[in-house]
Amino acid sequence: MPLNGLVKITPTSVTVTGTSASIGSGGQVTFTAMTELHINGVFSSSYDNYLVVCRHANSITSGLFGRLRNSGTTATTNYRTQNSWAAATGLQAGNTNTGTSGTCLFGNYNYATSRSGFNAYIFNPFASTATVCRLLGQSEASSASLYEFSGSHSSASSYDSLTLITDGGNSTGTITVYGFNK
Amino acid sequence: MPIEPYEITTVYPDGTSETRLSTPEEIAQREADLIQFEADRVAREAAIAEAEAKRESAKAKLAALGLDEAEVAAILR
Repeated sequence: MPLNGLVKITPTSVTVTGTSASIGSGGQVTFTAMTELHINGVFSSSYDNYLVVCRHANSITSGLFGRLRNSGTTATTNYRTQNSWAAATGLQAGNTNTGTSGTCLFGNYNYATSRSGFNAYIFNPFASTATVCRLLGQSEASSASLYEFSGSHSSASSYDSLTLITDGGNSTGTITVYGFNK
Repeated sequence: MPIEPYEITTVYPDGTSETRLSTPEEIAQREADLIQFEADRVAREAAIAEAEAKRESAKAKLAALGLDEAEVAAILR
């Protein structure tokens, strides 16, 4: 194991609702036309913080969102996010998930079938403390667009897995999880 | 509209896989997600439309004060 830098993590398994998913020899997950994807066993005591790199294209204009998961159960509440996005004519901002009623840790929007991607830093998901996340994303429409999310999960629980879910249509792409060496 | 049971497949690093049907709990969660996502989408689009309407209203009022188009654009940048 290298002493410094990022270490690519191979999931123990992936669970897909949709056409297919597979785990490459290096740990990269490839998914096709999925509506929900569980990337199991990527968070552990080996690392505190993680980088998630994802490229995706959705079948319609829709979002791809992330949730925390542990031992086969996905956390669907107690998230809060702040977000801003710049697309087409201007800058917008939102905090639609104020309080504890939010349903996702992060999200990235996608103009139908265009190229999108994001990187998300997830801090302390495995520790039994609140988990926080910072995401930078983009989607190419008629012009470039920018998405920024800051998310937190208020439950002091440990999570070993990550879930991706679409809010419409399906998504095709790749995702890789890296751990930051301590 | 209720969601019919659907297939969920787990794939392992060695390429083996197993497929099962969704549980009632998973179907209920998916139905709840779709309702929430639709509500979020409607709220998001309403917020964008309201912001754009306010922007157009502000532009019109600034123009009425005598600002030309370039000056309005500079202020609203």
